[in-house]
Amino acid sequence: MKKQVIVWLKNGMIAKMNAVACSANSHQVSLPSTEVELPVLIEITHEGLTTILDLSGFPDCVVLQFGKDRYFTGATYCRNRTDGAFMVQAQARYFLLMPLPLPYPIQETEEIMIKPLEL
Amino acid sequence: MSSLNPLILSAERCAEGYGRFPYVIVRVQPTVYLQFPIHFYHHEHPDLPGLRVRVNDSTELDACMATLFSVMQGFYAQVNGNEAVPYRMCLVLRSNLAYFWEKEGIMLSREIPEGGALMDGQYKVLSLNSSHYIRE
Repeated sequence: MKKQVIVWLKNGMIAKMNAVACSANSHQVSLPSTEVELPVLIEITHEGLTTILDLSGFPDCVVLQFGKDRYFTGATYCRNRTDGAFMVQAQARYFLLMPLPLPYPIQETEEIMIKPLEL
Repeated sequence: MSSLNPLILSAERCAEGYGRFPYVIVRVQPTVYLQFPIHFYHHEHPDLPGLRVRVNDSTELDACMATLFSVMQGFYAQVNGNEAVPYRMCLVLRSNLAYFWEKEGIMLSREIPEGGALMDGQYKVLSLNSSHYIRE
C-alpha cells in the first residue's frame, strides 16, 4: 500500500512523495532487499521502546526517524558495501527510507505528515 | 518497450556536461524541454553552460546537494519571477529519481522527463524524441 508523505522543512518548504507504507508490530523489521522501491514509510505500532530495522543488503538510502509527535529525531545512512549484516536500532515511531542523494540539507528536516494517497 | 532513441551528443556538448546526471530540466511547454547541466566546483569557476555550484569538496555528496538545494531555489525564482503560470522544473538525479520543483516545495518522482524536443538554455536543439541522458 502507498501513502502520501509530506516532509516539512525548517525553511517552510515541503518535500512530497508517494511512499510504500507498512506498519511494524514487532520489535524487529526486515525488508526485502530488492522488491521494495524507495521511498518506504514504516509506522511502528508495537508498544515497545525500540525497533530494530534489518537493512542488510538493502539498497542505499537515508533513514529519517520521527518521534510519536512526528517531529524529526535523527537519521542514519545505509550504504551496504559488504555482505555483512546492517541493522539500525532506534526509538522512532516513524521511519522514512529515502533514496540517496537527499535533495535538501538533512538538518532542514522538521516534521512528517502522512495522508492517504491522492488519486 | 520505450520507443525513445538513446541520447547522442557531440563531443563538445558532452564536454559541456549535457546528458550527465545531475541536471535540471525546465518544461517550456508540453514536449519542449530545456536542459541545464550542473557543475560542482571548488576553486576555478567553470566557464560552462548551466548551473555552477561552489562546494568545499565535490566528493562530499551531501554537502554538494545541500548547496545545490539553495542554488535550485534561486534558479526557480529566477526562471519563474514574473510568470503567472510557473514553468515546471525538475532536478534529475538518476535515471529513476527526480524531484519536481514547485513554489511550495519539491515532489519526488521515480519517473524522469524524456522524449520531446530537448534544447539547451539558448534554445538550440540537443535531441529529438530521445532520452535526456547519455547511457553509459
